[in-house]
Amino acid sequence: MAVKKKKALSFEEGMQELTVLVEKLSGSELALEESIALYEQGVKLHAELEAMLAQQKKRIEMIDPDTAEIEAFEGNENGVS
Amino acid sequence: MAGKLTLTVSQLCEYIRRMLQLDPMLHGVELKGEISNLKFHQTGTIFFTLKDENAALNCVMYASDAARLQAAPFEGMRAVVSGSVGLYVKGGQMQFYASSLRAEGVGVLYERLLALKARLSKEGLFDAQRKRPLPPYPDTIGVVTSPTGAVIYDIMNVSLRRDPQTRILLCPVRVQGIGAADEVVQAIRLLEQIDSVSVIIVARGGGSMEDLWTFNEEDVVRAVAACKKPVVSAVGHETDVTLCDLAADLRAPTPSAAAECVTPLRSETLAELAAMREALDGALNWQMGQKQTSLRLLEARLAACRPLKRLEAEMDRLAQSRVLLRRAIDGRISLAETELFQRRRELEMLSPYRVLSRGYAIVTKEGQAVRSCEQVADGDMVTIRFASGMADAKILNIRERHDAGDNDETM
Repeated sequence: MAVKKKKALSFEEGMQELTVLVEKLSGSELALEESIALYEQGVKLHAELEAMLAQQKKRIEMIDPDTAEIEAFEGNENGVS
Repeated sequence: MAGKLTLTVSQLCEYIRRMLQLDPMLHGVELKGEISNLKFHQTGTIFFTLKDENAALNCVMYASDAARLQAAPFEGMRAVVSGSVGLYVKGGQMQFYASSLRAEGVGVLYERLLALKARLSKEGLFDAQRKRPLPPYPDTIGVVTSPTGAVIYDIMNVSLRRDPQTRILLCPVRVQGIGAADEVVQAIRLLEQIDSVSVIIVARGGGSMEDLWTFNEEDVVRAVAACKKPVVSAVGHETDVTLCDLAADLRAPTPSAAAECVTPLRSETLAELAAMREALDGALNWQMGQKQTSLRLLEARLAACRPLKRLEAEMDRLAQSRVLLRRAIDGRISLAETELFQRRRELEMLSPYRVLSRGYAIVTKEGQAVRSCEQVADGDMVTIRFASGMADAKILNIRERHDAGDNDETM
């Protein structure tokens, strides 16, 4: 809930959160409402992570050490130049 | 040159400078000694003093020559320099102009490496408990290496093979020579500040010990150790171990291996995510199962203490009591009956009617027992009671009462 308005969740953070949810849900008996809330939260998070993984795009970039500007890194595919 | 000639300082210095320049013995000299007072000037020029037990000589190496050095010289380094002797006119000082510089044998570098290793190790920089686990699902992989050369391509190829959607951010650096160490340090500091970078690979291909020297520089080692993000070091070949490798969270034998360690297989990530979903469903089922079990338990407990059950028990007790009561009363009644019967028997024993069975009869007139003939007159109606049955009779004749006495006594 509190995570909602913060910066976009990374996949790793999402996986961690989901792991915590699953552990909480399988650790000890909870109130019915709480288990259902946790489960729904988990299902939603799982869907988000799936989407995140599906939408991930290959990105090979280079950062300029002086200006910190980031641009695509093409390089020379043969390697050594 | 007859007579005394007065020279200016400039003239003399210029003369000496030229003399030194002309002497072929002073050119292409190889000079060995220990480096001290080492200073790196902003322009790239290096100043130092080369000394042995008895003598010392100021040396200078210009930026153009310094740029070709594989490894930066260091204080106390036993070095061999080659170059020529000259005079620095402005200061009137003799100087050695070094065009190249190398360690006096690899042993020199090795000793330094060991000394630095011992010092940093004492500080705990290489401690196993400092090592952090690599992020299981890295967002962007930061890479510090040369933008040219095979290393970056090896890393790209391996990473993309494992996950075609890999994200790599390269910070290009020189990996050897003076200034390389600073560039590597800056690159690490730049990449660690970028949020999306989850892990940093510091890599360099194989080379001589001097080629790899940058990765033994104290600043680089400290930057790796202090990096906020986990660092994987892949410097040189498997047999080369640099201090950077020791300080890193993980040492990979080659850049390709580093990419392999850092990039999770996409298929595995997908499988893990699917497993997570199953675990989630399983956990909910378990929760529901627990609820069901508790419910059944509660039901049983509830059934055990429901009010009707108590009522039934009370009613049972009541019925029991009624039986007992009934039994008690019946007992009393039969006792009373027995007693009554007894009394009746006793009473019967005393009854006047008992006499009748012996042949006597009772005569009554208008309900009064007739005891004497005087009580009756001729023609009176009387009733005779026998032992069994009665009869009405009429007095026919009253006789004398001479035998009346006997009868009286008998009655």
